[in-house]
Amino acid sequence: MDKVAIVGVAQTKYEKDKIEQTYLELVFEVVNKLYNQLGISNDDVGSVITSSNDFNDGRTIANMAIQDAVGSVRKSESRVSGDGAFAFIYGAMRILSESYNTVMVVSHSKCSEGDQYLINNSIFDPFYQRALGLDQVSTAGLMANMYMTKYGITQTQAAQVVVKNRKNALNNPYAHLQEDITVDEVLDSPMVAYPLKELDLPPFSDGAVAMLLTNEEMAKKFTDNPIWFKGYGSCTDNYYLGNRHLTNLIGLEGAAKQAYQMAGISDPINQIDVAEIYDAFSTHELMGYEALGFCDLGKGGQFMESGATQMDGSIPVNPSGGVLSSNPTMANGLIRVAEIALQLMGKAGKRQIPNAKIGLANGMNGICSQGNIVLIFGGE
Amino acid sequence: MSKRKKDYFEIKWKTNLPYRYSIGNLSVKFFEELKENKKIFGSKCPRCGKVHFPPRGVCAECMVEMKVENMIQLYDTGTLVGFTVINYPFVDPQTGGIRPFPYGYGLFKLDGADTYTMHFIDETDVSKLKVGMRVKAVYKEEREGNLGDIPYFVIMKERPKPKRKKVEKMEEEIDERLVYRGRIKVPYKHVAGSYVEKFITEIDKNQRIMGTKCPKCGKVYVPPRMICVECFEKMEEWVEVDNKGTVKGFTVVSHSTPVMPLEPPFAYALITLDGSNTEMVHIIKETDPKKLKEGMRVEAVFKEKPRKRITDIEYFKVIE
Amino acid sequence: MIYEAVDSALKDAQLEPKDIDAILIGNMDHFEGINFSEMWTGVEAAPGYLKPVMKVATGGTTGSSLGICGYHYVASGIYKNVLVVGWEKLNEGGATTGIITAFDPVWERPSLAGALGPLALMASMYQAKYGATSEHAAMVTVKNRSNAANNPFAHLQMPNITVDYVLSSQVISYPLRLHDCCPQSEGACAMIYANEEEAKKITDTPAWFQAVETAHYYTYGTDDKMYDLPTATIASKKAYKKAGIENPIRDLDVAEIYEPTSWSELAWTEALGFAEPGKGPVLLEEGITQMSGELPVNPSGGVLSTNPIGATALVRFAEAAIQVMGRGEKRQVPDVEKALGMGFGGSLWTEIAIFGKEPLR
Repeated sequence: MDKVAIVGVAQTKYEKDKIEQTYLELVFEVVNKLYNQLGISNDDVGSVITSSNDFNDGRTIANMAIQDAVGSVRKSESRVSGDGAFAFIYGAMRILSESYNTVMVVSHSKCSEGDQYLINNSIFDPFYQRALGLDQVSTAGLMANMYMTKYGITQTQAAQVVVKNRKNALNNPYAHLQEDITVDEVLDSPMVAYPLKELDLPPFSDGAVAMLLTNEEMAKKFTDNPIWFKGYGSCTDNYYLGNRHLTNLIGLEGAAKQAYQMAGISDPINQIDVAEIYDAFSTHELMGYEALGFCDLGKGGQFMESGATQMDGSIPVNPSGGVLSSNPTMANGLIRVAEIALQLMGKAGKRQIPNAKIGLANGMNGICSQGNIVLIFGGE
Repeated sequence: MSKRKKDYFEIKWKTNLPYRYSIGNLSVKFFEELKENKKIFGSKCPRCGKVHFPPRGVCAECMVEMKVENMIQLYDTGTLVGFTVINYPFVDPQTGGIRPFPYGYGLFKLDGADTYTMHFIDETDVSKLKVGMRVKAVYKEEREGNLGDIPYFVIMKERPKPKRKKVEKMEEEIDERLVYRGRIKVPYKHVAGSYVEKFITEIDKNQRIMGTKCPKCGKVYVPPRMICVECFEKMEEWVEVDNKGTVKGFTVVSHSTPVMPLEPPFAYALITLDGSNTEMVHIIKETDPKKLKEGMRVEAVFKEKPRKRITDIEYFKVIE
Repeated sequence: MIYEAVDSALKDAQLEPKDIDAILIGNMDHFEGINFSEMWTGVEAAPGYLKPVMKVATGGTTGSSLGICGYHYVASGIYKNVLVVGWEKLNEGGATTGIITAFDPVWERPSLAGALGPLALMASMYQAKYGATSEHAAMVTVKNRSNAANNPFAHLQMPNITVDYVLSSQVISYPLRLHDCCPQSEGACAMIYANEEEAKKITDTPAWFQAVETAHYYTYGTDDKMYDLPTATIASKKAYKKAGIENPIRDLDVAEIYEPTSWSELAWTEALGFAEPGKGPVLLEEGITQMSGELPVNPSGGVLSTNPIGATALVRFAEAAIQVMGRGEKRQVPDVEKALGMGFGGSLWTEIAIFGKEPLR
């Protein structure tokens, strides 16, 4: 397959409230960082793909607000209304279609500006679901409860995910929540949507991420260490909650299968060195292990307990701290990609997994993994 | 705005989303100068010298930052390059109501700026407006530090003053000058289609719950829909299902949001009604998760005064 | 509504829902008040269950951004076919209200009146600069809405419309009259794209993408004088170069351009290189853009006849493709080899696609 490379990534610090920055300034910060890092200017960028969400930004055509910051005047810029990882694949497609040699992909979100619950609630259809007051948190509770009941997963196992991720975040200078907490602290936190407690849930964060993609020819011009796009899969579960599979992430599973096939991976645990998966809440990561084929269905809790996903385990998951540590909603998927790129480039600082050669990143659209995308990257 | 010819079954939903838009330090300075000193400022690119109005953080041509120190004062006069008089009704998303019309609206270049700007013009007679005319900003006597401090350009009659939204109670102290509290308030009328119409009408009039059946796979969907998701076939057969069902999953929520139909804590649940093959998401009026279990039997409780909504099944109650 | 379009497209291509590799949806969330609308419609109205579903949403250009995204989806080699669906149900919310929320809440929203306000400003500036008249604008409406009478899908079909009728309508935003403006429509458009191998299996007469180009502009659309559309010039020049078009009037056989108001067609045909600056009205006076002229513009009736925003630009691509495929029936222009489709929206953005009978080699 023709090759697409990531040659550089830049992130802002993720924090609760970037009140002083407009969207334009937030995105410019990360784009400027990327330019400086790579020593490039707007002329080196062929096309731009952005990702944002209108309801989140309180602005229709949300990408209009940031055009000037991504240098799209007189250029081609398009926008995916959804998670940043989908913007990545669209950017990659623009290179594979041989339309552009370089594409910059940018994703941003500021959760501080809007009411997240009302924004989530608007995802539900106005006929059968919205009036019930559903949102991401309620659905997460429903999903977690059904999953845990079906397979006997314990709240302690779920809590271990939070402990791992927030502790990993201490090594990540960009992460929002960085804390060394204990399982007991998680279990004692107030109940929000049974069985999920406050500490089972992610924070709401502001932040942005950008990266430059190039074709094979141009890659070496920008870096000695390009990261290659190896595999992709995307799959969508049903919409109406009653029609969905809430005890297993069927969409993620489908996406992973496609991505593994494209990348030639038959044994995920042994062939993948590091994974950044979308942990929208604690049990979500456990369900992710199963859907990605790291362990059998129903064994997510045990897999966590085995230590396999710790920094020194056989398949470290979320060395960056994951979504449970930093949650600028639309940017999450692209952040996962950026973190994997850093790992494979050997530039992940204190959170580096040694000798990481193949990495997996995943993104999510809609409520609790309705839409999914899995991406595989390699250092060679 | 068009009026519907027939009386379609509509589900109304009034959106009222609050947004706390960050305006950035340049805008903060702009409004300060406007309020205190009746001065208008733009931002000048340190590289190409282009003067931007409104002032903003990035010069698009150069991809260079503009900061507060790059702001320069502009004149409050300018030249009109285009104009129109808005003469049609539409809903203003900030208020959810119709914006008063007609009103004059123009594009002009402030003396000192290199970009063009639009704002209200205080004239509704097009015969009195011409491209090339000179315009001047009019300031309010009592300025508040927002764009309403310049209600319009050119000379004036009494016109409706823009309403300043009352500052809401804040959870924590923030510097209010850094933000603009806006809203997206739009009244929507969703045409629900004949399937939703029949479903809700049967609930409202006959306290009957109905579903549709796929001709290919035989699955009965409650709530009903037109297309079977697995087969992508149109479903035309209607089936009545029982008001009682089994709980397949649940959660109990404690967080409170403006759109919740009951005061939390209460439970959301997936319920399979007897006769249906799918699960329906709804509410169980129970506050203690320990009292709920998958497999329990529940029964629908209908609302006394139905309001053409899914919540006309008010909630489910646990039965023995 | 969406199911109707999707089902019709699938039947047209004689494909089963399971044969579709991926689904792309175009729609503006705020117009109907549904966040992540693709998660609902992609799965319940289109065969998206267990498939990739993604949304591209860029305002007025949504349809064309979508159309272009679909091109990259297949041209990248990752998918062999893709189903592209654009849709909008504007009467549920209100286009003007939704469009206002696309602009800066502090600086622009208080005075902005949706899309018609700026479009009226553009018309007023164009008129002041070149002296075009309301009659010229009315001729555009007459051409397009009478063309629409040949198009069974068009919203406003007026075979007997006259210039006087347009001129007698109320001025809703000087100089725009009611009939200078597009309607607020509801509808869906579905297109199926396929790569070379697959296309051969489906039909003998596919329409091939020969060029796709996009050009964007400043965040504040008013930064420049707005009497012309610089992005249309930039994008069309690049597209023409790729598709081997030197003289658009001569080398293109039909154009589906995006004209939200009649005045827009006057100005933007110039930006697209169909006429010199200021000479847009000449195209009408000399009948060049009529069905019988050298370069028919908008045989479908254009945006002036039908405007469901999320779909509109895609409809332009679809109509251009239909012309190349020879399936325009009563609205078919004879002997079409190359056709142009255009999308417009946002802060004066333009997107162009050129379709041809053969793929470029």
